[in-house]
Amino acid sequence: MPIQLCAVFGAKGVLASMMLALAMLTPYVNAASGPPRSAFLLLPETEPAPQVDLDVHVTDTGELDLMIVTTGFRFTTTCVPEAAAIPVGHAHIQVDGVKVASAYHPRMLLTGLTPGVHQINVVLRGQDHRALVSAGGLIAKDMSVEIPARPMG
Amino acid sequence: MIVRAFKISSLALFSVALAASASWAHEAWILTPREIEALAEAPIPALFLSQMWLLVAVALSAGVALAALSAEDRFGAEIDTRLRPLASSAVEIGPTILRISTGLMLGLAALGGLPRHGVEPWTTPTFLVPDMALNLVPGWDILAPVQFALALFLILGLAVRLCGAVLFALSVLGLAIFGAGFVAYAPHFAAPGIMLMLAGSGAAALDRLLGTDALFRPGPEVQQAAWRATQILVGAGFIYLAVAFKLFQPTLIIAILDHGNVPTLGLPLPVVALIMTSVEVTSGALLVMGRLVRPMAALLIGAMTFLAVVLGETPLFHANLYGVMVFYLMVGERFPRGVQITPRMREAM
Repeated sequence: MPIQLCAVFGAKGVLASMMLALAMLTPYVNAASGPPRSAFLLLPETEPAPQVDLDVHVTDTGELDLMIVTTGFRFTTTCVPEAAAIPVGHAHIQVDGVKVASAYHPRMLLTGLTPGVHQINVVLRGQDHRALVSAGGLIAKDMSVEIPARPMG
Repeated sequence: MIVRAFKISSLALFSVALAASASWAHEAWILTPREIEALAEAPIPALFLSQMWLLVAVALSAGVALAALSAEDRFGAEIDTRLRPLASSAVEIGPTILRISTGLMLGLAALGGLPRHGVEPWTTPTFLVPDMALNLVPGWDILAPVQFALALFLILGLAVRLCGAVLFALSVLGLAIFGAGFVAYAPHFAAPGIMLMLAGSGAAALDRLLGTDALFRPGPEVQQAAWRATQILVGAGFIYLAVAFKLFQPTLIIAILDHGNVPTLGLPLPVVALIMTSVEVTSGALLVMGRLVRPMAALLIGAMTFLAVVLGETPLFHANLYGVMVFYLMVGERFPRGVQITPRMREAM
């Protein structure tokens, strides 16, 4: 097909027409789009947006017992190359801005945290690891947690 | 004088690639969690919502492309004549570079050695590229040993034309297994597959020792048609990447540029993103047209290298494309016909 088009209109004409069409079309596509599709899975506005909250306890051994409490979201261990826009997937857990784990179940035990205050951030992800977004933005929860210093010995 | 003009124009194109901070990245996973959070809220830049500015970009790109095409019309034949020895030696060196670079990439992918950012190396075998983890497609684990065997054959130079056919088949199979997400990658693996089918093993290959390289060698007409088909595939692949990941997702490429602290020569990031998009669409279109193949190859090698350095990525992420571009750089638009292996070339094997 490109070869036939080139024969009729000339290669330069095809190039110019294609670029003109892109320039005319792009503003409409971008105006109607949400966050980048490669990074985010936009949930339909017709459904209530999922919510996420955190319930944390520090164990006697200094570990963080993290319960990810969600509404309108289902955890699954199944990942797929391209997920449907539904509130099903897993959560990415970050500590102090660094991803430390993926949670495929609501409960997670975080080990190895040093004593002191840490920022915990949980973002719900679709089955293809894209971050879920609703009309209200990312579906995420931040929380500060203090790990107490443990007596030596 | 012609050669000098060719060198200067190639250098200029190379510089454009570097100065424009061109990067061919579209991988959102290199962004940090905080950057992803910011990206979710980032508005589309006005530049990518304005028909006027997009038309200005088209006019500038078309102007540069037309000037380069005119230069090729004027000097192309003489440059081709002068570079004929390079094109002839390319049938020996080009396939060798292509099969070894692609073989390394496939072998590492099969062993989980080329994972995407954030995944522990050697834990998750991938299919051709870091994005396509085989654990996403249950039942297809067999593709890891298939890739590894293919890599081994390619590196050793054994049954290379058959390996090319298998690589082409894998690129089609990827579409069936991974769906629309694989469209971004399929043409850039189908093309090297075709190249290996038409060119054979090249130098330093077991096929040469065993005398099996001539098996299934296509005729000159088929070779030329297949060579053009690779240009169309590679060019179309770049156009798709530019449109799908940059033109229609500008905030993503801006976030990646910001993440890499890419030098912008004082230009705002949306302007840099638009220049990159224009360069990528134009170079892809020129490849589809089979024009300016050597300069486009030089430009793309420069841009991919720059990207790898700036983002701290291994060049092996794009090893297939490096192999293709080096081959294009040496051969140009037309595949050499009836090349005789000289004693000197045989000595070098």
